[in-house]
Amino acid sequence: MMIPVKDGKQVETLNNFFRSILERGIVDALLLPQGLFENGTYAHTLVKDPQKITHAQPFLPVLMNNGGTILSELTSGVNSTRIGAVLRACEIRALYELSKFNQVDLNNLFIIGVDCLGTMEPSDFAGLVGQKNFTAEQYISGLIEGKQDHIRTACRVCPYPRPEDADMNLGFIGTDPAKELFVDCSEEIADRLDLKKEAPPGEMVKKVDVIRKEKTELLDKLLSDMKGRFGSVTSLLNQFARCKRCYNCRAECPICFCNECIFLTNIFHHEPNDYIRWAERKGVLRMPYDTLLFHLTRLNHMAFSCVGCGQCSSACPNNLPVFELFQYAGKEVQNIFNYAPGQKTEDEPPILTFREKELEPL
Amino acid sequence: MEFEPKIIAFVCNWCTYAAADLAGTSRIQYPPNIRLIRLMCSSAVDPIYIMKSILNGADGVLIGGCHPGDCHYQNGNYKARRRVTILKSILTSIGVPEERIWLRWISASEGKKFADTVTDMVGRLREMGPSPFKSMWEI
Ligand code: SF4
Ligand code: SF4
Ligand code: FES
Repeated sequence: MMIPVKDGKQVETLNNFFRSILERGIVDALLLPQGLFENGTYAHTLVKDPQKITHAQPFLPVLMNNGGTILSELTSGVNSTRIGAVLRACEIRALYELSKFNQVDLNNLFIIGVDCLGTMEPSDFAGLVGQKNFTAEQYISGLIEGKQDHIRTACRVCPYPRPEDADMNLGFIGTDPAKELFVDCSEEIADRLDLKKEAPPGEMVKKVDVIRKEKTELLDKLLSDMKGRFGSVTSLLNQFARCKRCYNCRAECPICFCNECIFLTNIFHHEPNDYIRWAERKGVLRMPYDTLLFHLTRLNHMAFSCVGCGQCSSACPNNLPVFELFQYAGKEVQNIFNYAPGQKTEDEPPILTFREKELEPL
Repeated sequence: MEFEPKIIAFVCNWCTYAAADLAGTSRIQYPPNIRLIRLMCSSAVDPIYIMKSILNGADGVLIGGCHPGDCHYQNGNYKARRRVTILKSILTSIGVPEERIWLRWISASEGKKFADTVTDMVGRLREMGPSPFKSMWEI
C-alpha cells in the first residue's frame, strides 16, 4: 500500500510510520538509522520510546556500520525483546549469513527492508550536506536516474536495490518519494497498522528490475577484469602494497564470525629472534610481517560467505581494493560448492558441511 | 647442485603418521625432503598453517589423513577435504599453483603408499622448481 508524504515532508512521514510500529506493538524496540547532531551524521539508533523517533532517515545514501554486526551483538545471549530492524539489502544479507554461523538469532527479529541505490562514506556525505545547494532529495533522484557520484564501489555494483527476504519492505524506487512511499507486508501486520495490503504497483516492480539488471552487468564487468589485478602474486602484492596490516578490514567485516580472531591471539606474535632469522634467510623482510598471510587467511576463512557490502574497503585507511579481492576469490569458491551467500535458505556455507562422496580424486 | 624441495607434512596421528613409522621400521626408502608434524586428525589443520609454510619458503605441503569413512572422529577428513579444496581454489585465484599442496589418504598399514607419495611429490616439486616465496621479502 502507498502511504502519502504530506507536504513533501518525508522525515515527518517516516517518523510517524516508525512510531506507529512501536506504539502498535509490532516490535518492542527498533533499530533505525537517524540523523544525529544536525551535522550530517547518520547512524543506527536503538529506539525504545516512540517519541525519540525524530530524525528517521533510512533512505539517505550513507551507511556508517553494517547493521548485521550490530544485530549480532543485540541478539547473542538472552534476548526476550522483539526487535525491529530497519536495514538495507547488504545488512540483511549479512544478517542471514551470520545466522548460519550462529552469530545472530533471527527468532525475535522483525526485518524491515528499505530500498537502497547506494551509499557513500559518512565523511563524504557530511561534506555534501554542508554544501549550500545540496538536497538529499535531489541527490536520490539522481541515483534513480543512474548517477553515481561519491557512491562506494561496492554499492555501484550492488544488484540488490530492494531487499529480499524481509518481513516488511519500505520502498521509494518507482514512485515519487516526495509524494508517496510504498509499504509491503503481511495482511496481519497491515491490519494492525490500519493499512490495506496491496501488491506493489507494476511501475515499481519494473523499475527495480531494470536497476537490478544494470547493476548485475556492472558487477560482472568489474569481476571480469579481476584476473589482471589479483591473478598473480606479484599483481596482488602490487595492489596491496600500501596495506599497513591494521586489521581494520577484518574488524569491520560483518561476516568474520569468530569471537576471537586468530590474528588477535598470540599465535602470530613471534619471538624477536624469529624475525631476525627470517630476515637473515631472505636478506630483508618487509615489516610488519605476515600481511599476505593475513589476507589469505581471511579469504580462506570467509570469502565464500562474503555478501559484498564493502565495509572492508570503507574501513581501509589506504583505500585498498579489499571488497574487489574478496568478491573475486569468493566467487570462485562459491562456484565449486554452488553456494550463494546472504540468503534465507537452508543452504549451508561450504565450511559448515560436507558430502561423503565429493571432490575426489584429490 | 640439484634443487632439493622441502616439504612440510601435517599428518594424522592415527593413520599417516603411523604409516610413516611403518615405512621406517620396514626400511622402505624414501627421500629425506619431508618434515612431519603430527596432529590428532587431518581436520586439525587450519589453512593458515599450510599457507604459513608455503609463504615461509616450503616448496610443498602434504596433508595426510585417514581414508574416507575411517576418520577416528567420524568426519574430520571430509572437513579437511573441503578446507583444502577452498585453499586450492584461493591459491589458484592468485596464481599460486595448487600442485604445491597435496592431500592424501594414507592408512596406518600403508607404509609403502606413504613412501611412494613422498617420492612422487619430491619428483613433481623438483620439476616445478623452488617456490618463489623463498626469496620474496615483500609479503
Ligand atoms: S580472519 Fe579468520 S580467524 Fe579472524 S575473525 Fe575472520 S574468520 Fe575468524
Ligand atoms: S584495512 Fe587496508 S591497510 Fe588495514 S589491513 Fe585491511 S587492507 Fe590492510
Ligand atoms: S583421525 Fe585421521 S583424519 Fe581424522
